[in-house]
Amino acid sequence: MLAPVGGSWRDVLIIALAFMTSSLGAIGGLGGAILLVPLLSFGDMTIAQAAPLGLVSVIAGSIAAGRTQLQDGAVNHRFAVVTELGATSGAIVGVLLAGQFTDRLMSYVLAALAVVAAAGSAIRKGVRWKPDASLGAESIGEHHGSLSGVYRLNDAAVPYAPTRMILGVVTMSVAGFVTGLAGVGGGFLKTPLSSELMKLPAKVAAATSTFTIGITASTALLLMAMDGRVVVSDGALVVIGAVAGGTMGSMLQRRMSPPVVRRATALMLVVVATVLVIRA
Amino acid sequence: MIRQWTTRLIVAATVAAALGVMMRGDTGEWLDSAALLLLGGLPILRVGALAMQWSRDGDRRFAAAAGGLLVLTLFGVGVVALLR
Repeated sequence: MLAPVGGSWRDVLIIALAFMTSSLGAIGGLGGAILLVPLLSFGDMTIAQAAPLGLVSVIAGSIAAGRTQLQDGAVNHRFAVVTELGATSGAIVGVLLAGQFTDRLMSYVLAALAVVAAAGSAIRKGVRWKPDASLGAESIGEHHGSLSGVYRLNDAAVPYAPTRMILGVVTMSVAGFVTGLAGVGGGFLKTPLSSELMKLPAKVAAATSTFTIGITASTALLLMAMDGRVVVSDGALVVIGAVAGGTMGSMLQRRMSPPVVRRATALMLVVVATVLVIRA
Repeated sequence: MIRQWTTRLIVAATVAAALGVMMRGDTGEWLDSAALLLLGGLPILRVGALAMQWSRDGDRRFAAAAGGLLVLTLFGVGVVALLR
């Protein structure tokens, strides 16, 4: 896709792809790299070359969307930091092992993960924790010295407390490993793990994952830069597209119906997985 | 406060990236690198800010977890530097 066109058109195409995938990633809470990395690999890049650009798009999208989520008080930073200890450990191992795998195997891994993400998007459920009428707006946020907190659901305050943290941190290392290996954010694994395994409310899980994928991606990008794998001129193009896309995606997310977004995202991921398998 | 400096750094990174794309050459490459450095460092800076904030608030357990995360990141950088 990218090879036959001239330099300037290639630049425009990279910006447009970063914009589109970051928008969709922010809307669906999956991070855009799971779409961007395969799309770039259809052109003149291998997955290993596209991986750092995927990380740049994850960081830009995460930061852009995070501003809105900080305003809403939906991010549980204590939960994020604890689970990131596992994810960052996994990312370090992933970066170290990235060169050991063929492009074909990486394509299959990404395709399998895209299908897992699609299933996660399609079956994710609504409300687990119930509103507490005795809690007011002032109680919204995370608790001092604890992983529990209170989040806003429409006009109600809903208390929550995550469970199975040790198992959660261990499984988060798998998400981090994927980030280091393939340059995708791992949000499509982290959000379902936080929500379904550790019982975090879906809205808090999505917002917290958006924050944490930025941290893991930042570490992995730093390691890849030290490894000489980052093409800064292409990275700058992705910054432009992904910051704009992440901002637009987080704004659209507030207005669109979540079930429609999840189904559309699931469909896109299945298409990406199919094309990856055919291409491999 | 985190939101304010996050916004400023995002704007600075985007402007640097846009100028880098337009200029190219050595200056362009320097601006591209600055954009990536600003953006890539932001999530780590945010963890550092959380560690300091929790430490000030007396939330030692989570301040230690945030500090541990920063140490782990530095450890990863060291390992990659040694093995590559």
